[in-house]
Amino acid sequence: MQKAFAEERLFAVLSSILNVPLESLSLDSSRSSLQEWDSLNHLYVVLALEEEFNIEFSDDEIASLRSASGLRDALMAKTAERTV
Amino acid sequence: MKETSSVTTADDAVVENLNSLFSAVSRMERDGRDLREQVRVVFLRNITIEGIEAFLKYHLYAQGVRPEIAFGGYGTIAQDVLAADSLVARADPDVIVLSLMLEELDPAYGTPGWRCDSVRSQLKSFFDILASNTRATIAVNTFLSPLYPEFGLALAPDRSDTSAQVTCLNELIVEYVRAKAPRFCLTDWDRYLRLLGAEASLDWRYWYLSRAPFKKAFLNAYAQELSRIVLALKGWAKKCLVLDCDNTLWGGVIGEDGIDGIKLDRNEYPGKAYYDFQTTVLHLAERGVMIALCSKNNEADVFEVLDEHPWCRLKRSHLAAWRINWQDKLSNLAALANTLNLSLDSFVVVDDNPVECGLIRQMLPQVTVLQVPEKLYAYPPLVLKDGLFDTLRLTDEDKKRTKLYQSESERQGARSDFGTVEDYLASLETVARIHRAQPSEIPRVAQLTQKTNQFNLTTRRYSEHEIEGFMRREDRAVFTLAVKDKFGDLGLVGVLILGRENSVGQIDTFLMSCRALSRGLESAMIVHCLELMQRVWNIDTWQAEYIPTRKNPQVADFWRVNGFTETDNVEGRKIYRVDACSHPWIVPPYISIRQD
Repeated sequence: MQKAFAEERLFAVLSSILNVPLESLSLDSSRSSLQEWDSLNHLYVVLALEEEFNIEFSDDEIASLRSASGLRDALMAKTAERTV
Repeated sequence: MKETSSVTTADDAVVENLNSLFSAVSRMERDGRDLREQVRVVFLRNITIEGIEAFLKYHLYAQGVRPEIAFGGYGTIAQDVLAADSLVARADPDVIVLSLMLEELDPAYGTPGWRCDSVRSQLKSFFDILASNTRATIAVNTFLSPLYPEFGLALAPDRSDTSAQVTCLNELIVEYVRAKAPRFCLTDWDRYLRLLGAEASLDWRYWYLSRAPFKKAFLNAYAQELSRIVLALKGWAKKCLVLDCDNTLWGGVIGEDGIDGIKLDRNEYPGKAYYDFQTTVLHLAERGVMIALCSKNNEADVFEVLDEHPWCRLKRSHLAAWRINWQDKLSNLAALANTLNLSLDSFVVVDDNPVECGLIRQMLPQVTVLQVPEKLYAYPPLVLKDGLFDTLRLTDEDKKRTKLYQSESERQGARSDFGTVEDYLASLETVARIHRAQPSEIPRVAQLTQKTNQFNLTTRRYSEHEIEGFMRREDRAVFTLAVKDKFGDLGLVGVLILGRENSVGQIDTFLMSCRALSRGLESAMIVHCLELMQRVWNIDTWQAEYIPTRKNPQVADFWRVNGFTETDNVEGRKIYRVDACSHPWIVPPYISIRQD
């Protein structure tokens, strides 16, 4: 999967689940920089990404993935595994 | 007033995907900002249930209601109600939803030998606190039994197994709700689980990670049920089921296949699908939903089936009205609405023909249209599964209703034999019984305030609890009107709620069930009660209001016609006054009033 495509879909999900404008999101966005991205919304971000990319995060990943860039890398890795 | 036009109706595909659900909800929140209909919902819980918020908002906005939703603290149910400046005191919710899991309610749950007694007393105290400290309708969940019983195949002889204890608690909850309906109502988690299955319902990962037990299918079912409760509270439940005949009540075409050729049978499929569908129609009739037929057919052919076919469960006596002819569906539906004195948005139409269904959806969007599914085995629960007709409790009036409407058809038949309307009305020998509401009438009075839309001057919805409160106050008077005539007993059909402030009397609520209209009873009730109370309270001026809604324009002129003068107009809400002493209070001569 292309990086740019993964990012586009990731930002679309973050924007709709966190209810923030798409323009306000970047790879630097993280749970510490966005107050909307609280622990409750993090649960729905995870669920929505799992639906969107048809993947599953482990318990550890749910706890440790706290930024858009981290999520992007995890999504790339998981979808790559699947195509191999 | 219901305003569905600005918001789309619910679409199953949207809730399938969290991303589309959240986008839809933020769009609805933007578009629905000005919706007049609102509801405040508070969840009191001991689990993470916030996931339901998007689903509940989605279903409520789709019905034209703007929700405000708040969540109490984890396991702080009593504090959230009782503390000074508590969540419930601040939010003043219309609906309180209890979302409780046993694991969090009782730390001993799950250990060998656990008994339900401590939960039982906790629940009772929660229920009592909620009932006496709030005005809200309270939705209570049932508990989920363990999926894997601790004794395996064997059952504990003394009912000490967890499943038996949970069943016992659930029975307690159901019985409590049954006794306290409609103040309390049930959100049956156990039933959602049966419908959806454990795999689609329970989220073990999030349960362990953050005490969030439910997957989205379950949250969606739960939210749909809660939105039904809100609609029932607002009095928006559908009232009339209009059925097509061919390929709807039976398979085939009666005019071509004949009574022996149509498919309708208790034992053979596909006839059995129609037979089972008819059974659900009987259940609705029993609940007081009016059943009508609207079909392109020869009337005699259809009634031959209803009267003669051995497996036809629906009989002429179940019908409130029918239009069986060769005219178009749209004008027949309009005529039915007219005969039954209902507005079209309380109609649900079932038809097999996609063209007819499409035409009704397009031309009469206020009508709910259900199409007979192509897979006939899925047909029987069609009219039950969406809860379109759901109310929060059943009253005896509901059960009598079809009979009442049949008498109304006879009354209309009799009308043509008389020269003047007055002659006709006099011939009905109408007896109006008007008195201060009795405790036994509270459920019906509250139900009328919640359901009556057309002849309702102020459309104020009251709970039983509130009606009871009025009846206890010196400066309030609640009157009921029950009517009988030579064709039958119409039951309790009118409610008038009066208040006083010094020498000014206020008419807070005046409503009449539509089956009692156009026979002078409206004036009779007003005249009788105002005259009585102005003596008791020393009233010199009566003040009345008309609050317009989309459904009550027929009473826009009521106060003026009855001698009141408009004195003020606040944002469409009209205030009227009349001088109590000089007003000639005259009861129509063809009505005799009894106070008993």
